[in-house]
Amino acid sequence: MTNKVVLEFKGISKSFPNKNGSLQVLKDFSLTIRKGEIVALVGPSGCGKTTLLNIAAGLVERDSGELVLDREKRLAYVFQEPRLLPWKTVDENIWFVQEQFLEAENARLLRNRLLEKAELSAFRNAYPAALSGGMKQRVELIRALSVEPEVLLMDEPFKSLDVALRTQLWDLLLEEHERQGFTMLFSTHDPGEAMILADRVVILTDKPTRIMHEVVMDEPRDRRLQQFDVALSPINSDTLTIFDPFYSIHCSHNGRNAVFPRND
Amino acid sequence: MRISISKDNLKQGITGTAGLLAVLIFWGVLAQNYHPLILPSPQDTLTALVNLHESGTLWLNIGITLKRTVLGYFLALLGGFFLALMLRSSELWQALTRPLITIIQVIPPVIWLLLAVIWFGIADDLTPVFLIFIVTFPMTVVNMSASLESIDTKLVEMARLYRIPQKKIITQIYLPSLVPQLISNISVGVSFAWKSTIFAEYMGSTSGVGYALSVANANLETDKLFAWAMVLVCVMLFCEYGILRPMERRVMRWSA
Repeated sequence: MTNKVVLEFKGISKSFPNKNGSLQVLKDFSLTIRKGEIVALVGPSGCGKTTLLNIAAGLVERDSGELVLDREKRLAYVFQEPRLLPWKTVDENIWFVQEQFLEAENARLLRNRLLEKAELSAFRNAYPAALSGGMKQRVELIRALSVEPEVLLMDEPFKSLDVALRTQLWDLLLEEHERQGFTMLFSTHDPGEAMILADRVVILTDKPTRIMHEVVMDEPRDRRLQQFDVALSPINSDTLTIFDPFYSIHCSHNGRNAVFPRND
Repeated sequence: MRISISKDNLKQGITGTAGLLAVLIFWGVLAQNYHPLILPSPQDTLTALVNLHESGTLWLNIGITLKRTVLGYFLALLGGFFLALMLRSSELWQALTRPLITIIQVIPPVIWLLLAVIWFGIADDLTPVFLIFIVTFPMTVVNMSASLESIDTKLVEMARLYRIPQKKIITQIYLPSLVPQLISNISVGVSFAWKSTIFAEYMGSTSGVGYALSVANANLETDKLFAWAMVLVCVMLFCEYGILRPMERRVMRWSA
């Protein structure tokens, strides 16, 4: 991994107007992400994860602070609620965004490969209305990967999926990361998911959001599920508890860092 | 596309036909008591219709009138779409054009027609096309603006993020979003347009169904007037059930 900074939040603040005037979501927030790095944002619901991603994507204007992100970079965003065009089939929806970046034949091959891996080949000519919520979410992910992005932003991309499918898509995502080498920032409610996917897990506080703790995952990581299961079993000896109502940080005895939600 | 005739539909169809038959019988009985110049019988009307067909004026005039209607209404739709797009992006334009659109809308069509005859003369195509345009344009702008408001901005946001050019956003997000409302607007608008064409042809043209009506009227051929009325009803029904409804089913096939 090179050390080149791809995405950097520098002292970013953001408020939204609400009934009582305004609600400060981000206050002087800073985070640096390097090329090829996978960073997970974990934190309580409504803590500003989506706002951070939207600011990075240029969908939300920041009030102050600086965002470092080369706008020439090819960006992809997996939205929390799939944003598919209802009048286009799965295949057409993906080609709709690919057309800007890839040559037709390469685009088709990549699209086919990804659809195959996500077990969506049989539905390539289906309209979104005919798909289940989980399937739409998969198409949303595939669409993002299919443009060969340099920066991939994902807002709770696996929220509505069952465990088996989730694991399968984790594999798909990591494989594509290996192949394409994109830089990735994503939010999740699930610390286990963050641990499996990310190089670095950033744990956020409630509003106004600041970084409570950063956990750098050990390298080389083995992200296969069986390893994860071992890591998930609680180890009492080296428990480090951060003073936070939502998360505890545990260090396992083989040196692996893990993030767990508090059970009580 | 699955075509099914439910029991309800069948019942409705039977009652509808019975109602129509009753009117026909009533008309026939009534016609016996009046001079054909006042009220021609159904048989007279049918004979007139056959004569129109055999003389070739039937299809010729329908063709001319249809062409004008489609042209005028298409221009109004196109203009309405682009004006609505412009209005969407600028509040200044909205403020500037709103009174103008209202004025165009409240001026009775007959005034527009008289003006058109003064401006363009008894022009074969121009006068009817102008009238259709001016009668349907305000409605189109208002409807298009409302439809544009209902476009899912999240889809547009997604498209911008993937750097989809504006032209592609218009043709592949805006337009398909407009289709469902567009079709229901068209089915109202087209009947307005059709009536306007005939009205314009009646006074301001030397061809078309409207002109044929004015000739029949001048010659006191009441049976021909009735025959044309039948034809007009049939054309509108065909337009609604033969073209618009199937088109709606076709373009809406994505909506599960």
